[in-house]
Amino acid sequence: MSIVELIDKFHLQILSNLHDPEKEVTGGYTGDLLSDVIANSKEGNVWITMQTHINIIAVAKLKELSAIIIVMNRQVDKDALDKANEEKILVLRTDLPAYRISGKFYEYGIK
Amino acid sequence: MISGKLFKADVHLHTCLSPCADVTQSPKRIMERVNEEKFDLIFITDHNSTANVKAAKEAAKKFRRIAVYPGMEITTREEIHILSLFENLEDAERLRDYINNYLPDAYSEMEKQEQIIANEEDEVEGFYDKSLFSAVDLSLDEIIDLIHTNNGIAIAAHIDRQSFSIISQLGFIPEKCKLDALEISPKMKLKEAESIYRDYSLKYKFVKGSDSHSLNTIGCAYTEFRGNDITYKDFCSFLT
Repeated sequence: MSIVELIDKFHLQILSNLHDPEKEVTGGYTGDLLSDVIANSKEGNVWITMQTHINIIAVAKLKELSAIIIVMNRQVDKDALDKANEEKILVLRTDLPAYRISGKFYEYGIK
Repeated sequence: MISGKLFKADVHLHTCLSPCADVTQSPKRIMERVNEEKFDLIFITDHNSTANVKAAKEAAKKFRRIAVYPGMEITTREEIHILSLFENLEDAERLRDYINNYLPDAYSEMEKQEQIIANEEDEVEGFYDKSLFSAVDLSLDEIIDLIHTNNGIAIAAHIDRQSFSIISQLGFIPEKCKLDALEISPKMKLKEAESIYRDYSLKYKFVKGSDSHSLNTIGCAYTEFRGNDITYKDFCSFLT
């Protein structure tokens, strides 16, 4: 499944530049502790989190994640979004809480 | 080579004001234990508040000279614990008043009653009405800047722990972070920390604190520093 399909299907807000709409989503990971995400997320995963610190961009880059999805419409700092554009990391946002959006993705086949 | 006398300090001590601390952890009894363990300088660092610092300072007067300074263990929006250490109580209290605006009120009577404000005679003076274990809704960088503008120093607490540490929450320490030092928990040896966190040890000094929540753990970890006197300034110059 491509990231753009996910964006359309779940009305995700695009916060950083969409460089690669056809990027393949391999699965998902939900968590707010970056040490945990570094240890357990997999390449191509979408990462669902409420963490907005600039370090999320470095983690997404390190693990080659397909996108970061910020939950509950949390505000993302400008320095984080600048960094995201510089590193070509896609940052998306939803108004849903992490449990709900994770459940919807899972139901849709992203596992 | 740093000269001067060797002093024993604890940068991380909770009183019964912290909801997770033992009820017997009163300012008076803490100072009795601090005296027994032969500390020269301590910081009282409850979660997000300073309400029991004055009582600890008063209680200290019964003993040989022990320097008692104010501090707080502040929980940032990212749920990172940052130790803020101050020379003057007014500076610490100014920051406390500010960050308390970004804390929720205590959720229940029970929560309040676990946040005991005590005097130096072991009497209950009242209960704290903010939820001290909650996160202050300000970012790590904002908190560090606020500590500095209020004349304090900022130390990342227990970086080796798997919860509420800068590394557990953020994966690593951001390069632009303006921290003054890093604290390691009692269970890790200084040498061990310097090898595991070699890159950080080039940039920051490590300190050890007891993070004491009960009387029997006071003295289980400490920081030794050399200086001319047991003052805040001597302690700070050891960090730089």
